[in-house]
Amino acid sequence: MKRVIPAITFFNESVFVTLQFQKRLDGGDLLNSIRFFSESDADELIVSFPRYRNSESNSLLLKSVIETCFVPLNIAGVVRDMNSATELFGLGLDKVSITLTSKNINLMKEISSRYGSQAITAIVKIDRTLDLTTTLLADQLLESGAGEVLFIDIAKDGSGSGLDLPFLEKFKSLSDKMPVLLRGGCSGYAELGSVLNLNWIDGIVAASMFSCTADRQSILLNYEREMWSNHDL
Amino acid sequence: MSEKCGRTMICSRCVMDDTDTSIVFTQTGCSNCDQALLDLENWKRNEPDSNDFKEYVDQFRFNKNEFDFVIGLSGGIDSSYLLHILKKTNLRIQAIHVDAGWNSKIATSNIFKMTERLKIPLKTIVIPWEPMRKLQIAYLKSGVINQDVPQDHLFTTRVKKFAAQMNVKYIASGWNYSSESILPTSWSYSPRDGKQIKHIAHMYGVTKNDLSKLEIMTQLSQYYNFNLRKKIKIIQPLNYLNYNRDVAKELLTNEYNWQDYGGKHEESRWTKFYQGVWLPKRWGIDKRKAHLSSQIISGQIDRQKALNMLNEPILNELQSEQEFNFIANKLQINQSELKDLMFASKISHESLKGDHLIRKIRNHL
Repeated sequence: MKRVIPAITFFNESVFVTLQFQKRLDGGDLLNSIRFFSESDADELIVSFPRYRNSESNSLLLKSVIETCFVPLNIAGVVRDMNSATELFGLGLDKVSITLTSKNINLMKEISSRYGSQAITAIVKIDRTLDLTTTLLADQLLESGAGEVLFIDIAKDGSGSGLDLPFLEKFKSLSDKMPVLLRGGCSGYAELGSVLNLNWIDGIVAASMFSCTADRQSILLNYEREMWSNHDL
Repeated sequence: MSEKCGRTMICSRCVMDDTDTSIVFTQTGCSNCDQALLDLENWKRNEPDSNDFKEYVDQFRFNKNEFDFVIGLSGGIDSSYLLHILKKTNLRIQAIHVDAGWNSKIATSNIFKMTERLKIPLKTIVIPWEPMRKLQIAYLKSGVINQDVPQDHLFTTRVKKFAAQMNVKYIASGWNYSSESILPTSWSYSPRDGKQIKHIAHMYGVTKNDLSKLEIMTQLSQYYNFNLRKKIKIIQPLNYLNYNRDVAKELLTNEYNWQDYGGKHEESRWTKFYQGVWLPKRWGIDKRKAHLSSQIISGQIDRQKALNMLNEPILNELQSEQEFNFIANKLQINQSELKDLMFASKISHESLKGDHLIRKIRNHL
């Protein structure tokens, strides 16, 4: 079963729709958004906390987030050591997302061995200037113990101009090793429907598409399964 | 004419009763339905494809603005149906939705599905939640009856502001005689009174900084900015149509996969709590009596059916508890604190500072 995963980004006081991961539109209350996607029966939900800082109020916030979400929840930008991972999984978190770097690999290994590979998503940020061979990437991914890889096309974030499939196809071979998710620029339900048909893609993560009107000028949370599932995936 | 129903006196024609403390029972029925019948003479029950309705709609056409109407959408049945009808007349519509933090998922989804399908430009305004949350707590603490004021005030002023900005004179509202001709003043208070909102905010610790983020407007300010400067007019097209909610509901479901959220105005989670838990338990008021009485008088429902509906509680005990806990959670207050507020002393809107003089003048005119 292919997955369609909405992504929410939370900066300090508010949810924001981003453009290349910079704040663009104020989306309001975090728990509201979480509640919406839960009630919409989203396949999963990814909540990112860029610039996250450990504090008591943030810990309480994360607790509320986990309690409010009743679809599989994936949190990004928060876990930097085993302690925070343990605390969050203890509260009922399903998955964490961690960027695949040499610095993070040991932590990822430890989380995977303690909680299972399905508990960890490896994030790979697309950098078109770097010439990363997929064999090297595959080795690192396997070493990390991650259960899946999510490619994030930062340049396309918030654009709604369509996924850069010709470029992303470079990573096709990785789908032999583990499920591949893509994020960055999905234009809407029509594109979603067609991209999900590609057999090397296990799921799509999308942000502005699910938080805005089609013209992306206004906030309007949406997640309408019938609009992309015309056939079984 | 009235009859006894348990310990209340109830009108024999509609279902309003003495929980409306200003009710007067008359030869024909009661003060509420007597007035409603008079008002209903203004309801022109045309069919959407009739010449009369076409003529009515044509007067708003071909002005030199970019749009003929601004329409406020809540995801509820009245505004959804209105959108459907107006789009069919080929009027140029700009939709707006104001999110005060209480949208039910179904309401949001309805707005999305309809505006996408009909390709209607939609602007959404998200009210900053922290200030809103604090204002709502202030209102709960104040002890006044109309806890819908913050939400309703913001809806109206934001929609008018938007129309003013877009230079559109006409706002199409889903208000209708069919289901809304009756609402006793003892159960309500005008959300227009921005002066009172500011006063209550100040009384209960909402900082000036937070309040300014909400952009509350006094009546004078609204009158000057909207009526005088921009000549904004709210029109009610559903009162020129043979509007029947059940028929409308079926049409919307078939055409747009529109979903029903339950009782009237339950598209807002706050209003669901307010009408389903707070008003009945704290004030002994069941607002369905007003809605159902309106529908009895307009011939949409028969009285016995209305009485049967009123025999069932709006929410059962489990649902009440769930809504209660949801509200406490969302407002970030303890359940015990919310319970205390529910049984705290009451105060009338009229006894608090507000735009009382203006209100009296308006009522007089």
